[in-house]
Amino acid sequence: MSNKELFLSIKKLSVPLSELVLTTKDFSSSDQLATSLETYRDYLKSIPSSDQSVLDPKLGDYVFFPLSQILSRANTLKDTQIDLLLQCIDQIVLLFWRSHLTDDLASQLCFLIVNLIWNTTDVTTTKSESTILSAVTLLSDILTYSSSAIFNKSEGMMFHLIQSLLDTALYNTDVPLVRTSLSTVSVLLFNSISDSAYLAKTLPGVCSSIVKLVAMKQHYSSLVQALNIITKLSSNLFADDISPHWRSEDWLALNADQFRIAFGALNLRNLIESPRQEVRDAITDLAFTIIQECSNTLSSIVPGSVELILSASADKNMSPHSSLLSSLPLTSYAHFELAVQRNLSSFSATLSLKPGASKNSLLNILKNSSSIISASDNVLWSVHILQDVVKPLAAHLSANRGKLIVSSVVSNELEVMRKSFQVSMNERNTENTLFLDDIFGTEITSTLTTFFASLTPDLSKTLLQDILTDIDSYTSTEKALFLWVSSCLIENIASDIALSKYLMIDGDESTDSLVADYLDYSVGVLSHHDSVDFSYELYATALLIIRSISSLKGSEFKLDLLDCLYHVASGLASKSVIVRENAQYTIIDIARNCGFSSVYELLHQNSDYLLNSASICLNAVDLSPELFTTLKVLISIADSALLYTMSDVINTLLNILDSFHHYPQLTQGAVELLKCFVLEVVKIHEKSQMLAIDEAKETKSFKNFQDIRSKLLQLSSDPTPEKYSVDPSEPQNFPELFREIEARKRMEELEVPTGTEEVNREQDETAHVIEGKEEEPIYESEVPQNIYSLVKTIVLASQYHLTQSSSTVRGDLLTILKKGMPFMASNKKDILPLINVVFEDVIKKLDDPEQMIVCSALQVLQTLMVTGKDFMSSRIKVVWRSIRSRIPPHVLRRRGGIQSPEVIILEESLNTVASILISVPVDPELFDDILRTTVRYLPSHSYLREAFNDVNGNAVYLEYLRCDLSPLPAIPSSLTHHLVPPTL
Amino acid sequence: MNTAQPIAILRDHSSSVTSIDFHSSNLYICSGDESGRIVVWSLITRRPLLHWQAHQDAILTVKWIDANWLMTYARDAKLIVWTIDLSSLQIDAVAYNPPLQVKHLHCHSLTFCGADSLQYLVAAPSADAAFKLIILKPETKTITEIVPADKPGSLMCLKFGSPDRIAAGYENGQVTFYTTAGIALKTFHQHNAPVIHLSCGYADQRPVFVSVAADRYIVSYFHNQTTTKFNSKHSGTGCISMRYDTKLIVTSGWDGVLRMYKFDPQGVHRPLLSTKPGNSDGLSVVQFGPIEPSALTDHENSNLIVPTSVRLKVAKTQKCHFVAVGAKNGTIAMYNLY
Repeated sequence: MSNKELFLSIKKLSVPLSELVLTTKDFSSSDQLATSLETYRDYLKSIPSSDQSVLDPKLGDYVFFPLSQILSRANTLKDTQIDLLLQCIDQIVLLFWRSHLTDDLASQLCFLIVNLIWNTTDVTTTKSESTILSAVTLLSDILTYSSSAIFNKSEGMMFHLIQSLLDTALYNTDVPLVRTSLSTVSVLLFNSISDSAYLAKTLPGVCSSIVKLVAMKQHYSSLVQALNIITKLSSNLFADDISPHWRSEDWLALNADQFRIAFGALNLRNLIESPRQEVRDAITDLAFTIIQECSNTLSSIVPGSVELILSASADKNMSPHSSLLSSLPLTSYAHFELAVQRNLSSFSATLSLKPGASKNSLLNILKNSSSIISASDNVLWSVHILQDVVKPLAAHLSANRGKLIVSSVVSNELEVMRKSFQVSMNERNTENTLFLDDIFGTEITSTLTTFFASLTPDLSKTLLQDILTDIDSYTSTEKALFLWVSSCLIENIASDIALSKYLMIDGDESTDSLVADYLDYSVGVLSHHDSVDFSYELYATALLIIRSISSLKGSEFKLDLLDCLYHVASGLASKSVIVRENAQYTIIDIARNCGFSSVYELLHQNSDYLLNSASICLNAVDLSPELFTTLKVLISIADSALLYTMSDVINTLLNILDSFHHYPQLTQGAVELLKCFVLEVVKIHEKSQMLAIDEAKETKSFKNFQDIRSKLLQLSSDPTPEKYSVDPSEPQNFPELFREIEARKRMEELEVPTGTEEVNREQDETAHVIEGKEEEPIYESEVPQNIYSLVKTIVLASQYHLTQSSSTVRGDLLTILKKGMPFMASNKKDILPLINVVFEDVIKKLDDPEQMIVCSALQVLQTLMVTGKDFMSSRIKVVWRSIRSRIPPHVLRRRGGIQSPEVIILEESLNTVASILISVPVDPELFDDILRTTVRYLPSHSYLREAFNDVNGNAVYLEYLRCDLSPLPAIPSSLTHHLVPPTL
Repeated sequence: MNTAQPIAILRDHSSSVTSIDFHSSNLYICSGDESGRIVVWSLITRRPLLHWQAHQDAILTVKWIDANWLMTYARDAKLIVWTIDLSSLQIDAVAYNPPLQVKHLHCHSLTFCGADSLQYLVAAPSADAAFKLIILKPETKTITEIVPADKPGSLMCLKFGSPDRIAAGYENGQVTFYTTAGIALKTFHQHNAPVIHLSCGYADQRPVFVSVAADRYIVSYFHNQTTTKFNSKHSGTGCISMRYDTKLIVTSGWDGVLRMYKFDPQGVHRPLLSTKPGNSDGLSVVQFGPIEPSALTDHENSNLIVPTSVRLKVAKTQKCHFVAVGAKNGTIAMYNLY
């Protein structure tokens, strides 16, 4: 249809209508007008609005012409006629004027409509609802298509219109009418008012009407629209980031207070429980708008708003708005926290009344709160509020455990905990703090423990299976949490097992399988401590699981528990306090529940397992400080039989020394272990010699226990101080427990061999007799030939590595030489070449910048002198100059307190001199030189004096005389006759 | 190249381990060393159960004849069969009493050739290149003495394939297959150095043999008819073992490296893994576990009331695909592979 055709067709209707209007004086008595208007309206409605090129605004004016004539006499029209008239005008607006509606025309039309509909005081009885609906619809369309300047010249009319529309919404029951009125108000307020100052003036009226409306109306759509208007008003008038000229402090104080009253009067806390999702969403939007945009200007409403959000989040279908809440301003956190507390307490209070529904609501709140917390960037706050989330949760769960029969419910709770835990883990930046107490606090941890420990065995089993199934999908920290939960749950199935034991029947096989699976998993965690997701918490909780299992079924799972003994023991040497503590408790529990009388007995009797694991780790180059410490302890507690099977470990350590000599810590660890090994072997060797003495003196009843004890006491009075020295400043040093083990071992060494050993020895001897060949009894303490070879290798390696930069390593290597050389002396073939090699490198250490190394080198020299004897005669000349330079001509006196390094070196030098004199034949010139150098020390060093006397007492006496030293020694008999004057 | 870590290292021998054999239950192994000591180990606890001086010289062979009978053969020219009641052994203590001897035979043992057995049929070296076939039940008697027709040098190794098939490796590098009646079926001369060790698996219930020599080659013998030859490029291989299903073979050598190869009817393929078990001077013996672990029945204690946890442990142990490697330093590394 073209423009002309449309015009002609409209003309056919408009001309008769115009004629009718012009010819009719009283419309109230004419039915023809209504008919014509109806025809006119229907035709207008039939015009398609799609072709805008046809719908010329001028054509609209033409169409409007007869209607304007009617409108000018509207006061005489009946309701139906007005209704039709307004509908016709509405069609014109929609069809022809939609994009060309001038402000003047729109303003006049509004004015006319207001006068027409709401010009009486009693608006409820004047016009029918359909008429008012048509008017409001027309107004809405006009306002929609007009500009924001429509009311610039008619402010009063605007207020009147707003109030009229609100009254219409308030006092009418027709839902479409109320809805249209409110939408029109919304359009008017937020589209048609250009100056926000005018909008501000409408606030009291609008708020008042909306409060009434919310109180009266039950239809959700009306509530939603009313709440949306309030939301937009708060955003437009109270936003923190705007500062219009009209918003003075006084205005803000007054209106914010009024808004708060209105907000309270809305009674949104009841409305939030509305069954309609739209209502809850509208309330949440309002709350979010206040929190996000008006948290300063409307700060008094923020707590209520937060509370509303949390209440709304009880609905599981509702998004927790985590992304929105994550942008909460800092000032709102406190409100949020307060709201969480209030919600939780209120829900907790109602739990006893409606356990099911309330519980789910509570869980949803907690879950969503947890999401919100985890989404927040403010970690400090998250951790803080976590305390408030978890504590009531734990208390609730603990109190309602009897009702928890579905594992999925508990799984939800675990999920909440997991999220909370995840958040709080972000806060933790130190590794050595305590585990759950640090995260949740002692009280909460205790409550959680009580809760989990009191679940039924069946539920516990189900949960344990669930956790184990899913655990691989968790992060390291989450795994730690779930393992902790599992450790609590494992305790629960104890009741089943206890019953089985009481009835003397085999327990449920699935329980054992579950326990075995957990044990396997925990051991897996412990043995993969080098994996990417390793954490000390995970390690500690794995230990916790092992501890629980050992308490639960220690005797039955003894073999499995002993399998993981190395990992538990190495935990004792961990850097982490939490791991160390858990390892201590775990190892004590394993010892107790697997039938060992002490931890020492556990470690001692299972040192083969420890060695096995340690050697595998060494072989895999899985080198950690814990490994070295554990091996050190292991060597110290291992019996000789085990010690003699360690050749592969020692060879690996020597390889490490060769391959990783650029890594100081590794080198130091390896050298320390080698030193421990040599010291232990030497100790066994010494014991062997002592026992040989015992055998020789058997007839003198020397086997008396007290004698042995005193002999061993004497032996142990010369301990190897390096072995037992503990430097508390070094984290890798023995934990307290290991020191106790050391002490116990030393005590045990003083006791007589046990009956079992004797029986074994007898059996062994019997075996030889059976074979028909009498053999010499083989004592455990005898050192096999391959150990000699091993010690020799270690000694040679020590000599080779004496150039290490670390003074500690050099000191350890010299200790190996000092202890190893006398041990090697029993092999006459090897010792002299060995001395020849070692001597060259040891004398170089006399020039070491570290004076303690010089001391150690002097001690090794003393050993070489004693061991080498004649072999050292020619070598003394090489070393003597160096020793002489360390003996000052004037006497250095010992003073109280700590001796100076010079004095210590002097003493060691004098000891070396004594060793030389006692063990090595020296030529007279050298003897004289030595005597002259050291003569001033002879009065104060009796051992030195005796050494000199043994070689040449006369020379000593003469040198005394020459130097005028006193007191004089006794005159050697050989010299007496020279001194007595000849008889006259 | 893949590597592997042992699950355990068994330590009790003070001298080089020379022979290892798995008990049919896959719960025990027995090992012998150069000093003549025998150790029976529990694979559950990985500790020795029984330890005694069985011979006065180096053990050449330990072999379980049945569930209770253990055959040991050493350089002291004695072949002894011991009866060991495994169920009577304490799991947490080592016994030092020698078990009861049920058979005590004197054999020729000037060479280092070990003996072999299949059920109660024993093959033991005799003078020169000959060997005897001895039946132990119902009464001990020598069935036959097999003397090679040619002069292949000393007898180096023996291996039963079936009750009617035995392979013998000789100093000149030849491997000859005999029937138990003493008839030489076929002779292969694939090695140009003394045959060090033989092993056998079963494909389609027919024996497949493999041999190693000092010449770097691994030779496989399919049903005594065809052979394949694989250059391992590693000399000094001292021992070879083939898995029950012939899919894998392992070798150990004086270089201290354990090598595992894939095996199929085409022969030996490139190594699947190469690993050094511990720090030893060399590996002296290697042995696969017994028949397919899944085919094993429960431990003999299954009828007793034992805790489930122990049953689980036993079952877990039985399912392991063990490989035992004896080293010259006296350790035995246990692997659980493939």
